[in-house]
Amino acid sequence: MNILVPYSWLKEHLSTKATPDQMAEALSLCSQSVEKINRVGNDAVFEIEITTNRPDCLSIYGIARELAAVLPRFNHQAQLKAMPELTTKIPVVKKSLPLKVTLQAPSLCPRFTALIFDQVKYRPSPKVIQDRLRKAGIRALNNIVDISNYLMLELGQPMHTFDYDKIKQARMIMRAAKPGEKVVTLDDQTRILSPGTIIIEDGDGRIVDLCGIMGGQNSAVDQTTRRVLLFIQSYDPRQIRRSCQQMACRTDAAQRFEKGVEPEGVMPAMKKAVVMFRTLCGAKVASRLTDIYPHPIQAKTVVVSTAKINQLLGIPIKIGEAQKTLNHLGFATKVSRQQISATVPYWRHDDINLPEDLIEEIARVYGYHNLPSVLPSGPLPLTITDPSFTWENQIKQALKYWGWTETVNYSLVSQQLIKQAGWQPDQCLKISNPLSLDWVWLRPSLLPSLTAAANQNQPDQVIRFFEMAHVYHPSESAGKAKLPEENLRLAGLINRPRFYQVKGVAEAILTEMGIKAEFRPLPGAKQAGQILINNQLIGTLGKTQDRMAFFDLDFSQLVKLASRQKQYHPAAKTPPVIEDLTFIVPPQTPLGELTKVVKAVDPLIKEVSLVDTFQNNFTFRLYYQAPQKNLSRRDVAKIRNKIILQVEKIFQAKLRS
Amino acid sequence: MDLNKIQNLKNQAISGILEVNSASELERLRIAYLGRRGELNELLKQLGQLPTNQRVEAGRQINDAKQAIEQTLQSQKNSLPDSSKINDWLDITAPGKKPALGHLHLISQTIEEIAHIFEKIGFQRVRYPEVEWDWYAFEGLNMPPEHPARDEWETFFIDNLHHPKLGRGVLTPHTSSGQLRQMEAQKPPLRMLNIAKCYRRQADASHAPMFYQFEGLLVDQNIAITHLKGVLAYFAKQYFGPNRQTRIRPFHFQFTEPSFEFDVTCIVCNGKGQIEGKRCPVCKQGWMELGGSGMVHPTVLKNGGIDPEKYTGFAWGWGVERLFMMKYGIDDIRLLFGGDLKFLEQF
Repeated sequence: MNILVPYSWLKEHLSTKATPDQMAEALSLCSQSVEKINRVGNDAVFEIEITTNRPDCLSIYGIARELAAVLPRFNHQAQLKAMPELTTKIPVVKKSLPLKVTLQAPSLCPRFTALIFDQVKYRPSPKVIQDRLRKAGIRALNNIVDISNYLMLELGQPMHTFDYDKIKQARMIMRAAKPGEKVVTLDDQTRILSPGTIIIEDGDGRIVDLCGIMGGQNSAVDQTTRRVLLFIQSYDPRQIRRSCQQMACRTDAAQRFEKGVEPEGVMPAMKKAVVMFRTLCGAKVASRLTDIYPHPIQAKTVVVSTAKINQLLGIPIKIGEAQKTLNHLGFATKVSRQQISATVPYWRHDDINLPEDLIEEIARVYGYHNLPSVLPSGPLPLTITDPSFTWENQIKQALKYWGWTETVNYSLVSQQLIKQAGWQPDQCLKISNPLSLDWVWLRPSLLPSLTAAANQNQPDQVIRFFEMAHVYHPSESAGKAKLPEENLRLAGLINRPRFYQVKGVAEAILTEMGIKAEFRPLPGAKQAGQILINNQLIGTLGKTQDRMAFFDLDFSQLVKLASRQKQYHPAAKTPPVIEDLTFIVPPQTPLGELTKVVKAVDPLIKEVSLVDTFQNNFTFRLYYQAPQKNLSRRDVAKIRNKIILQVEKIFQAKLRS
Repeated sequence: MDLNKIQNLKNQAISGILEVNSASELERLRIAYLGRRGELNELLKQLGQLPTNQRVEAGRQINDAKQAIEQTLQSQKNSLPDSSKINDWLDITAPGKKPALGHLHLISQTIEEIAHIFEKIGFQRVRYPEVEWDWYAFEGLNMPPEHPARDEWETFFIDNLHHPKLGRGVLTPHTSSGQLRQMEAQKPPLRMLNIAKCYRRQADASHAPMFYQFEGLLVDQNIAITHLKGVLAYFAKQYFGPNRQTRIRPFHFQFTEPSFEFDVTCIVCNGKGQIEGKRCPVCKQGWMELGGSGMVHPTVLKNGGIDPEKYTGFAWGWGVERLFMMKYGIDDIRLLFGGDLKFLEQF
């Protein structure tokens, strides 16, 4: 959460000569981060990002307290000023106006205080108050409401003011809202309360307050108000947070309450409010203080050893210096036997629990920027790199140098895409809270998004896209609390029906990974094939309906089967006899099968490859080679005749003479 | 004379011929090998010195070599371009025939770069699930359900996926979910580098619902804040250049204590905070925020089965895209995902 802090307002609580820039530097390096300094007239306003663990800094005073601790480290003197209001006593009146309070759910409200003022004069606030509110981002309304906003900004304690005369029968019942209850809030909105929301009901059963979030319109202060009921509480942060989320309503007050407002901070705010009501509204206290606080917070003590401090910081720190830092920040400390025991100030009660928490305080005020940078020198862990990373990079590089371009597509796809691809929804994983209809399902295949990626471009460009990413399938024992299967796949696509290009690339990938595979027709598909290794399916390839050529490989499996092992064969001592044979082959003859048959004719045939194609004429190059002797013409002729016979017998193909 | 000599001569002649690209040079080689006083004739003359039983074989091989050289000369002659048959002019300015060249995605390039930098100091890459239990993504990292800190991680949930002990199935909103997995898999000393896809419910120019993070985790004895500073400064200098300054500032995460924000001096304005008198559009007063880091919280170590009294460690988790978007001045993260060739071709 970001807050706006005027420099001039800070100076009311802090005596220092540090400039706004100097303050911003010290805060950013040692405390909370100053995002911006805005110049407003001759004042400066800091925009500060407050981390969730430091609700005590969501106030002018909280920032002043931090500055008092960190500025001296930058050689700027700084002293937190005492607030005289905090020593004033709340007047005890003889005749108290009545207020009957019932807390039906005390755990939701650790501390409940209320005080009634009479003779309140409704008018605009003085200019200095209006100015400060404006600089801090809140519009001034009238002196009564302004006091509550002013103190929320200054001390971090939200509060609410009711018109006392609008609380029927001077009776308040705090309880959790029931389903279906409604309230009209100060901003004229009718809000349906989520069950469990903390509310106040008056003697007539009307809901007068949406506690910690916003007051009800029926009890709001206006120019006719003479008697004000001031209301200062702390609430269960989780319930405030839940209500805000469910009702989609998050006020400045609620944001503070959901991060935690300490019950011990209630009374200082009440005391200063009494002073302000007197000075700004001419008001008099007209009731006894209601203060329901059944379980006061017990101060806690955390102990840390100097050894631990030095170990975590990486440099030795003087124990006296560490102690001084903690004292600056409001901790009461005792040093004994190389350890510090620190009593946590109430405003840090939720944040400080462990020795590490104290070390953070000591280290940040010392200044992280003042610590040296050192590479760790411990023993290196003995681990073996997962080979899939090396293969992934190697194959991606290869594809790049073969002319392919990598794309990265969202793992999340639309309902429409799931339908188009013909996937069964029960074989896919669905997002329960999708951000948009484009991102609802986890994709079980890369191809549809690759096609979409190709179609993003002008169709006259030849596009070769590939992607390597996880696909997701519910685990087979779904319902038995098992994470889904995430398989790394590699898919490629050309936006032209160039099947033999994708096949060539698939073959080259397999060769590069040292894998022998078989390509077979895919049963039931005319334009697609399967890639098998030892009869195990590891990929598919073919043409899509929109005339694109694709391959799709199970890369996780390929990595398991891959090998970098090479075998050395001494070069043959005899020269091969090389000849080209051209066959006239009937249509739809599988050339892969034909090649296999030729190769199997005789062990002296070392290699058969298709070198030329013209209509039905296919030219094969044959390498004949015997290990020990030079083959004679007669040797070769014998084998050749066998080839011609076999090819004719099995495929009805004829040698072209 | 031995048979190897014939073979060597043949090979030498053929490779020489294949390199020639002018007719005059070819003629010179023809005379040198096949001419009346050429090398082959010289060998033929030596035949007589061989024992009879070797003469036939040597003769056959010399003949063989002669034929092969003749063939090569002829085919090389045929392949000469017309112009060079006339003269030896070579047009250096005509376009070359480029090999096919595609493009690796910037994300892949950056991941490789990051992995190389950290591998040198012993960090090993790992793969952990993208669909993960709440325990690993949140609760085990000291973020119980309903904790306000969870707001920062707008999380996608998976339908019908729930574990009785580990909670709901989520899409990992950060790579930190790898921390406990790593601690379960390995005892200290450990140095992990987890680079993976992450998902959050947000989409605008600087947020995509899917993005990449790289997470480092080091746990050992006596690990201090100074070590975290050392490792991260080492990375920043390797990646952005040796003149970068770095710093850490206080921040808050539930799973580290203390926690930091890591800054590096701006690569656009060189840390000055302004360019030609105007405020630098990229950084804050000369510093760019790279991401969060911190000393591993004792509760997280405990949840990972490591004794926080004996071991300490640090971790960071930063956006991969952020690194190179700053480097190249790319201002819309959504450009990275999908098939816009005009974008992909630039890298």
